[in-house]
Amino acid sequence: MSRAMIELHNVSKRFGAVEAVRGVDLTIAEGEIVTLLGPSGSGKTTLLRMIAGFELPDKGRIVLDGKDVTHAPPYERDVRLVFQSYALFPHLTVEQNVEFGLKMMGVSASERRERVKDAISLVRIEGKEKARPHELSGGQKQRVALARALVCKPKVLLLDEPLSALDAKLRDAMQVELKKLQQKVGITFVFVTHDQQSALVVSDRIAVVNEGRIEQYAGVAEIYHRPKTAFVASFLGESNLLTARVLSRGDGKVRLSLAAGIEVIANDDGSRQYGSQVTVAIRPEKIHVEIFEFEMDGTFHGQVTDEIFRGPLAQLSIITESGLELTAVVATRTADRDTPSKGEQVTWWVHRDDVVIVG
Amino acid sequence: MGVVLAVPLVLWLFALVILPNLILLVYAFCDRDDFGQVVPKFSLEAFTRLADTSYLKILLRSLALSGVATTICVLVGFPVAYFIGRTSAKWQNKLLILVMIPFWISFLVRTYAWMILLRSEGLINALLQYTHVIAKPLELLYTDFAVLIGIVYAYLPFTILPIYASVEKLDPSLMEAASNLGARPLRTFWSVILPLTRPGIVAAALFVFIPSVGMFAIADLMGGARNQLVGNVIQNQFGQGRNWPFGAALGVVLLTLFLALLSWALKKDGEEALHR
Repeated sequence: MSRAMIELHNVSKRFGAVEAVRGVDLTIAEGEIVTLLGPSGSGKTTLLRMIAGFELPDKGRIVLDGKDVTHAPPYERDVRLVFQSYALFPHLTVEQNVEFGLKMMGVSASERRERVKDAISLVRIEGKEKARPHELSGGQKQRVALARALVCKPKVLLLDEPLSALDAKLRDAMQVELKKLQQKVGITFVFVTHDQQSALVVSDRIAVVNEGRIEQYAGVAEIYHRPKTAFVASFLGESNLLTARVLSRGDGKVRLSLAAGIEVIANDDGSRQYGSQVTVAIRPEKIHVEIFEFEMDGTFHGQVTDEIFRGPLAQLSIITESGLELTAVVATRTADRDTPSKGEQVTWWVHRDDVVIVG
Repeated sequence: MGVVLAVPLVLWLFALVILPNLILLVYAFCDRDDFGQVVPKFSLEAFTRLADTSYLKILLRSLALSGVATTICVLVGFPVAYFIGRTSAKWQNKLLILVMIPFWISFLVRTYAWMILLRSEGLINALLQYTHVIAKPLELLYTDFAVLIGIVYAYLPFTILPIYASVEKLDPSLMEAASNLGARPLRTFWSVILPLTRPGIVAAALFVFIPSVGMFAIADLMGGARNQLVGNVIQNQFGQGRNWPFGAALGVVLLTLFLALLSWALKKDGEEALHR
């Protein structure tokens, strides 16, 4: 891993009776896109505001590019923030907004002109230089806010729910665009969002924040496929969270009983202690469903109780004879087979890599 | 329908704003008989009297005094208004009530109270003498200084309220954005807070400047006979002076001055206010 750009060491913050952030440790490498993902009130925005310097931590240290900035005022930190509300200066034109930070940095007039021009073309808002913020659409304001931050070439760009005010189509386009933009400028991006879809599309790594703590911090694929806690498994994508009884352990495997007659195997990485009861997470799309009935080791039967058509995918509710309820997602009809429909008997199985013990 | 709804307002404005000013304008061009009675005959006499430099001096002195009072009001009012506008909503209401409490007491009573404080044997002089800061009482009352205090005291709430209104609308994330972009607090004040609250400041300044130029009660009570302002001169023309046309002419001059000032201020800020 390249060198650390942001380090949070045991950072805590309390607002009155509310413990917003509780002893967070987090390291973000140079040039990475990291998302702080969590529900509202999880403390993710407080973390971001502490990195920007708008809030001071009660405890712990914040290190930016090797320099301790725990108590530095915002204007002395080389980070720029794209505000959720964009916070464009209403009395200034687009150009003057973008130029603001450069003026504060004491950049010469000729260089300012050059860099403002570059930033405006980078976010593709040419032709709007003389417009006032109130004359712009939401998407355009967003671009101006980005340009205003990026033009300063900060060490870190913080983005607070930057996509939440945009409509779905624009949001999808902006996600991809942001990722490309980051690759182009090479600046470390820290995203804050409650939108797990954006988080997956945009990030290299995701830190899932819940109740002031980081529940898991890992690459997107790992965090999706190997969630560490039930919260991560359910907040990021969908999961069947099931209570299981441990039947036996050994050989790096755990034998689990999900219900009478339904025994599955999960990987045991040896990293956890657990008793006879565990919680497992199984992603709906990892459950294989076949419309015809057959018997094999590790296959089970069930009945489809509900089917929701979602275009390319269909979501099935399945109940087994022993009363275990599962949600599965399957591809809809293809040339050689139909989607199982309501009331039909199906056979299902799950691979042991896809049964994840989360607690 | 819209036209019908506007009728009361138009009538009101006509009866109480346009008509009185038209009457004033007509009087300004009327003649007087030997006893000072106004006669409906066209005359420019009132305006020729304006050329007298002693009146010009009084006018300039009034404008200067009001200018200083306005500046003090804005300088004192802004921090107060800013503080109120930035505290929690719970405190905002309480503090605003405190600002408005003086309105519950008669203006004259409040002015007399200041006279008691300021006179030679008043509270301030007594206190300063008691603490041996001064040996002889200072002459505070019946000076320009006293008039200034009177004006600032009377009009300060009118400065706080409009500035408060514009501070309260200020999005706090704009200040954070400025700080995030490297602006130190003073820079944020000049580049963001001041330009965005300017409409409120201009309104506040006009609320003090315009009424205080024509004001006569404070100058009468606290300024004494030597410290006449244009308001006193005008009042005098309609009273003992028995020269209504001249009083009206002075009024017309002031009104023209204010209209020019107002249209300049509105032109500058109106355009921007439209864009918010």
